[in-house]
Amino acid sequence: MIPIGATLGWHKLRHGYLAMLLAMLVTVAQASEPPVGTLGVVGSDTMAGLMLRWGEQLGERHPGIRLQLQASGSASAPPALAAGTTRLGPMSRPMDEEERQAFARSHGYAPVEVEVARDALAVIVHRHHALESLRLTEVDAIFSQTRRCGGERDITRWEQLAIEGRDGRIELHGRNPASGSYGLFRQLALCGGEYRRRLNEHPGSAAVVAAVTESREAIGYVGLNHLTPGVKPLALEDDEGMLRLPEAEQVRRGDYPLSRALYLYANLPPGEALSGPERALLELILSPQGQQTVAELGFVALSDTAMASQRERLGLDDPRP
Amino acid sequence: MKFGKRRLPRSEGPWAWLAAGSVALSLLMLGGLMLLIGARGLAHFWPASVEQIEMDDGRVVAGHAVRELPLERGQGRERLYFTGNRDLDGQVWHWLPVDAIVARERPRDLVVLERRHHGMFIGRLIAVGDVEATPGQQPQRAGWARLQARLAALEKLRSERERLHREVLRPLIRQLDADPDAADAQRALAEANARVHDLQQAMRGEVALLESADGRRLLQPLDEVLRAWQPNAMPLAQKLAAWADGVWRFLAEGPRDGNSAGGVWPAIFGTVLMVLLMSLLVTPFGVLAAVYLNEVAHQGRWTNLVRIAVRNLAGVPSIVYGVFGLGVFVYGIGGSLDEWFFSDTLPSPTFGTGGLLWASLTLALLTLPVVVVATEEGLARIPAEQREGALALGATRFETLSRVVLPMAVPAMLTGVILAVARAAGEVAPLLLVGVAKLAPQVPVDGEFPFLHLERKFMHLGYHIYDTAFHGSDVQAAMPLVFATALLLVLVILMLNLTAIFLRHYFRARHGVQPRP
Amino acid sequence: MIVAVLAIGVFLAMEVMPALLGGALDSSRIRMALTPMAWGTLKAAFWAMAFAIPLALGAAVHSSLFMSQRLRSRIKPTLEMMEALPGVVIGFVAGLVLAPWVERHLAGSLALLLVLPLGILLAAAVWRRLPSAGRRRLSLARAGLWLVPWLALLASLTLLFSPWVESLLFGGDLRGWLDAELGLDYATRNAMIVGLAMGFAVMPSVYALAEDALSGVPGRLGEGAHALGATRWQTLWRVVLPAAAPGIFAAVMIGAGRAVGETMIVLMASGNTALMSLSPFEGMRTMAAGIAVELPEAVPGSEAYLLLLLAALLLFLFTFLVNTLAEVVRSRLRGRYRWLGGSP
Repeated sequence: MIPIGATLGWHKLRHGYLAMLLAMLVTVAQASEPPVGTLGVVGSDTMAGLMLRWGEQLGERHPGIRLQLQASGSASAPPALAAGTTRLGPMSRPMDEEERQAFARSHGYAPVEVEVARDALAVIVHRHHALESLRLTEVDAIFSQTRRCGGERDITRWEQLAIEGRDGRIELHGRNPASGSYGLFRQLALCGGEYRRRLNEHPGSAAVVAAVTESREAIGYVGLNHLTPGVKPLALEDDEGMLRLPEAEQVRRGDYPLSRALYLYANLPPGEALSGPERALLELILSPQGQQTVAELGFVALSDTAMASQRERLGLDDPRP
Repeated sequence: MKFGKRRLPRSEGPWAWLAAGSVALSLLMLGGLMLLIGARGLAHFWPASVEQIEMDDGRVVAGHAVRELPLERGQGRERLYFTGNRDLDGQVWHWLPVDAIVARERPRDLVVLERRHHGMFIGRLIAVGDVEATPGQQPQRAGWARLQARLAALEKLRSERERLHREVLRPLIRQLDADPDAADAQRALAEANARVHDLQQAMRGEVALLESADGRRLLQPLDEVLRAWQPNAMPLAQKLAAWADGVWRFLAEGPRDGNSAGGVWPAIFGTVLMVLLMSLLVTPFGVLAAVYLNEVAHQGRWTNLVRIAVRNLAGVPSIVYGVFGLGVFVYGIGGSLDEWFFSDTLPSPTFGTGGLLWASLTLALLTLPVVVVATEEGLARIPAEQREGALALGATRFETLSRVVLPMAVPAMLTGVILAVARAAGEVAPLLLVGVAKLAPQVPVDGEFPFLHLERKFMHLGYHIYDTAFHGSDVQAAMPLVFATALLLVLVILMLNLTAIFLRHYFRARHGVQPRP
Repeated sequence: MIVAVLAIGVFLAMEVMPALLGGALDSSRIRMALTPMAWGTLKAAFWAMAFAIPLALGAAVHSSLFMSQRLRSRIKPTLEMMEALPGVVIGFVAGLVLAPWVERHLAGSLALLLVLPLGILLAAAVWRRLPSAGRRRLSLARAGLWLVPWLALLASLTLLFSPWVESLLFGGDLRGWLDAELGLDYATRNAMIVGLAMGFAVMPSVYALAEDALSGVPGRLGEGAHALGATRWQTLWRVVLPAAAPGIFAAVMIGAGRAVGETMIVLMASGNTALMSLSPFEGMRTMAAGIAVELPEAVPGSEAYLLLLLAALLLFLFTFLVNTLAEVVRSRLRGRYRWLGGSP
């Protein structure tokens, strides 16, 4: 491996490919007895692309494994897990207390929670907008009519933010109520308040980006994986007065105020080992290749320590029983 | 013509002209829309020339211009370039101020690679070589020819792998699912796995060393590359061939990269399958209803009422049909079916969620009035003499109906069904509720018993447009694909409608009957 | 069989009524949730009809009275073909292509509303000055065709010169001017765009029905008026139109029914804002779009689910009433034509 890198100008290449090629060779070498089976997965539609991509890679590593995905929203995962119709449930938010209890009632133990990636909501404006950052209270005062986060007055015009050369009414863009982003933004940025009526509720995140790309008066929020150069993500000022950009490092550490984790929940009785296909899937997800896929799709990959600690917790590094 | 000026038709005043203008305006808008969709849809597949742009700050990028917008307050214009190389830049777009562009050229050695991941690469090909090459062996310089040969070989390997998956692996897995301890099946599986691994190993063998326009290098495993071309060095004939190839791939392949690239084959398949099922459901009902209304029932107040009701149903918004389908078919009937037959998988629904069957049923209801009205029209147009003649010759009413009237009305029925199909193919709103899927890699027909999976979700062309345009990860990148899909959908529907019009015309001409007032 | 078809409405009512009567939904919730949607629905339909009615009726009048039979048999199917264009395609073009374009060329687009009718009148005035050979070649009967390039030329000229006019009259920023002088807010996705797109979708069906009504008027009525020296326009206005009025009314009603229920166009081009304003430059939310987006995610039996079902029921009732009215009027009309002794 390494030698050809040297001939081809190694230092200019990105580490990702080396890691990927290595990972491929390693798994190929490992595959002595191929795991076989169908993995039924029920849950989040935000993570549908991610799961599909992992499924594809899994199929390449182990042709005997097939992933069947039913992406009908995060809320569909807990009931399916509790009832035992699926053993894996991706969710774009943590399970709440009620869902955990329902699971424990039917199985007698808690589900295994695996953090598989990180994500964040970015507040975006037009690419030539003069605005660079906002305080969280300002975000609230712009988007909500309740101002629960403690803003002093409603902000409905750009003049109110004292930006040079920008006036006019602020045009608000967001998601429709059924989406996860709508709820998450409301919870994190509006302190649980109500959105303004003026909000344009788009049926998809791409539509939000498209709208903000075209309009200089617009502001909106979208998941990180939807950002394009047509829009500018704003830095947010947190409670300590630090400016936080929605960049990989800030999101990974959770410093960026609107960041969240993406989870995969598994039904695993204590003391039992993962089945072959499940192990293979988690092995893939918590590997450099799997995490590179995360970054490729616009989410934020886990930190190495988070990856390692979860591998250890799941016993992925142990030799197979 | 002495009094020519006077004898001309008198002026009709401004209103007549405005009326004429509204025809012109409608035609203009229709033409404009068709032109827009047609041009943008077809241009997507054209291997456009790639520019290398040098900026005044020394930056160099390569790509093609997509659009141009004025900057604020007259500070010139900016241009959007599609530059690909998501893996190097983290994005595929560059907005460049036009005034800052120093040089634009079209070097012939720029290559464009279509890849399975990271989308397009635009830049230069430096070399193609083995992964295992040792330091002494410099990879070959004549990269382009070798790349082409290698891509052709990869195509073969890929289809071989597909074949293995389809013919060997999947049956084995099914067998093992049923009986996990079958030793010979396990052995066969291990063998097949090894063969697939060998194939993948063979595919993985080579990499290309690529260089972006500004000189950054990257190693590209060749098995990720689907197509490669040098747009600036292509003669017209070759471009045409590449264009045709692109159109073919669009029609024949599945979507990639979260629907923002690749083709629409599953959507075409899903649309056609749903529409077929729907016609199977709607035709007998519609025709029977029309025959009953027109031939059997006593013509009177009641039949008139029913006629009004049927026409009325044609005016009910499609979304209401969707709600009905969701409430009655999906939650009502589907939910009960699940409880009776699929209780072992609850709460994951089998039939209690949107699927092919429910979608076809809902659309069958939606298009029922279309079929009824068209068939009735055809029946009414058959001259009474035909029926009376048959009856006079001693035929029973049933014989008259089945031997004389119905055969004559067949084109009308066909017209009705085609119109229904055209309507159903373009209808998206009810499908949002009863069973389309964003991405259903498994088409609802496969080799597994019972072969046709009525409960599965399916992809649909119209929904694909909505989804790609609003839910994709990047609208700008998906736009050409959306236009292409829209063009396909519009063409299909126009073809169907034209067929219906032609049939109707033919029918009228053959029977030489006057339309009913 | 037919009874089974009619069951749709009954079923829908059955789903909602128990909850409504049983008090599972209280009226203040209903009012809060449905009023903006109902308002938006009517607003969208209003602007669509404002756009579609003049266009459709104008086209119907022209093709039924002025066009030659041959041309009419070509033009009519073409315009009817517009109806077959799927809403999702029109909505996509309106929402993602037209809306941003209009926002960038606001002055030009608004100017088009003025320039195009004036341009047609200008063409009429020029036509009167033409020598007879020219008049004959560019006859009014074919005006629907030869006006197309003229209008296209006018439109492009308007767009070319509008930035100049805009900077002269409105300081180069019409949008800012609207905001500052009139207090009008301009949203990218607004009622004007929806009206345009939905009017485009609704227009063909209104046109087809109105055309049928107009050309169904017994020929001798018109011929009689002609013989008495009326121009064709006078004939139309005094004789044909009154005779066909119920049919045209029915056409408009059916068009309105379609506009109220259209889903995809509104969903993609309206911006889905729960505003209740009259302004054509602001967005709205309609019942159909609300149902389409929210219902798949709503849990069956929950309040949101019932509210959306109620919205569907309202839609159903509204279109059912409108369509029944239109059908009754139409069947009366057919009877009247027969009585007037027109075509067999």
